[in-house]
Amino acid sequence: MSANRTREDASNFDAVERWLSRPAGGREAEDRFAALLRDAGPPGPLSAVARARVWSRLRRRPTSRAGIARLRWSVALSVLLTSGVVLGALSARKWWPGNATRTAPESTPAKPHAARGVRGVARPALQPVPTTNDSPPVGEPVPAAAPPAPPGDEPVPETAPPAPPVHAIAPRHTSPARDVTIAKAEPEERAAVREPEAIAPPHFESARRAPVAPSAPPASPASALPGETPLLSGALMQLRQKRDAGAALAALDEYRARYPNGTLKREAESARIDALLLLGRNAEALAELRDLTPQPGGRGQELRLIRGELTAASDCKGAFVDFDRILNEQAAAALVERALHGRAACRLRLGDEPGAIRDLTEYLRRFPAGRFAAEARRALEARSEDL
Amino acid sequence: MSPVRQHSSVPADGSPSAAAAHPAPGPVATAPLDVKTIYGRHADDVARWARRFGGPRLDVEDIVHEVFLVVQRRSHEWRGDAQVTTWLYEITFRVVRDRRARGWWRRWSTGVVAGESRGAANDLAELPVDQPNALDLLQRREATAALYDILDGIGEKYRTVIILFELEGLSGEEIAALTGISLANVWVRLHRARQKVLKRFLAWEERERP
Repeated sequence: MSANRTREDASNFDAVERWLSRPAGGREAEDRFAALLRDAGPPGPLSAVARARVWSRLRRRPTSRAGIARLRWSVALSVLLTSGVVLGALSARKWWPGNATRTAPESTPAKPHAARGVRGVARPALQPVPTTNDSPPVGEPVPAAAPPAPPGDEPVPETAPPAPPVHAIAPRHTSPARDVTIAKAEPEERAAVREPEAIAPPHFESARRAPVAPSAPPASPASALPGETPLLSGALMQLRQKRDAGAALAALDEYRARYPNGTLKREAESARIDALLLLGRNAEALAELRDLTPQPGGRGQELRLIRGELTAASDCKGAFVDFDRILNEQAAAALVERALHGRAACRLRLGDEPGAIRDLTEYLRRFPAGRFAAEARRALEARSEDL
Repeated sequence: MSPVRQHSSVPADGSPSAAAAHPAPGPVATAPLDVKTIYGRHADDVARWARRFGGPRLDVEDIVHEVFLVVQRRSHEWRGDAQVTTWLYEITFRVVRDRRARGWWRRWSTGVVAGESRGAANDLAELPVDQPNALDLLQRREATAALYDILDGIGEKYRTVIILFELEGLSGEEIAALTGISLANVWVRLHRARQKVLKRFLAWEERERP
């Protein structure tokens, strides 16, 4: 049936008169259009020149213009897509939340909030101190015999402005100054075995062993702190890489003279304390610390702890404020360990044995393998024997 | 015999088939195709068909080039069971159709009218052998431009059918085979195409011949 229909359609089709078959001169629209068709006439052939030109193209370049155009567009689109992907990846890398803290200082290194961002990166530096067999200096709660912690243990971003030299500061877990400190401390430690009451605050050695935080990112050349940044960076370089606390202190003095209210003042003050501790000028360091208002958390907590430890040398009651503050805050374990130990030592010195026992017990509970654990056990055993 | 066939390169042999309805019936090929020979014999035919399908604004040289590129590329597929002219006709039809389909993109991307004529060379080529008169040429160009202006506005599928039927003189079966649609559909399209053409033609007359 469909074949019959098809044949019918075909016959209908054949019955259709072509317009060009209509006689010329008609007045109907079809006739007039047929006249237009006739006027248009048949198309002509290629000219000889055109024939030769096309043949030449066929022999010389057997690719069509359309093919070439497609190739060009493909290349252009590929370049465009590749560029888009690369730019997208760079943007994602720059603005991805995980990288925000790393990139923020680069964009706004001169602003205070950028410095806070740097400190945020530095917080890992206050992570728990690796436990070592180094005993703290004992016999005196005052860190007089033990030179202060090298500034290299400071959280880098805390004191590091976003400048390239600061970025280059590398962690230093051991240093000549520190080795001398430990050597000096050892005889006193032996004395402490005989005198448990003489448990001294652990000073700054734990801080010295704290892993150095990732360095601050380099500042952009167009930093808004063209004067402050190089000066402070130079000081930190002297302090942390060359271990030259004197030169660092000189640079910091110059910084203080030139920029008494500089944007990086807090970082400079922190570095100054490190330099003074490294030089053994604990009294000056304590004076600086007393003038300083430590920020909550991070480097501020560590400075507060150092202030407590330095204060404990002469004024245990005064040191309680800082120790208590550290213990009441959500401080890093390394700081808590030192604060517990320091407060216990002070309580022993002040005759508050129940309080000291509580602190020592708490210390052993939280840090059974801590650097002061053996010392704490001995002190507790001595107390129990006395009882 | 229709005037179309008289003016076109269709041989006056009265053959109803599309193969025979177009230029000089070449010998059925049994040997590998020689592109140079085919080009020498049928380049003009391809140009005529291209102008017929595409109109005066088509770059005929480009189309001829494209057609013979296809011939070069697919010459190994030639089985020799049909006339070369039939094969060339189909290739030309498809190349022009594809080129016109890409016209909008070319206009958009390059700002150039698709397949615009190359001017003097094509104009001279359009000059019929028996009409060396410049006035005749001008009238012919105007009529051709008006004709394709009307045809270009009725939609591609209608335009194709009416060109193949009215200008090329193909039968319903040949149009169906070439365009890949059913015979009934060819008839329907032709009917609608005629309506559209007449409507546009009348509008053109009102505009051009007050």
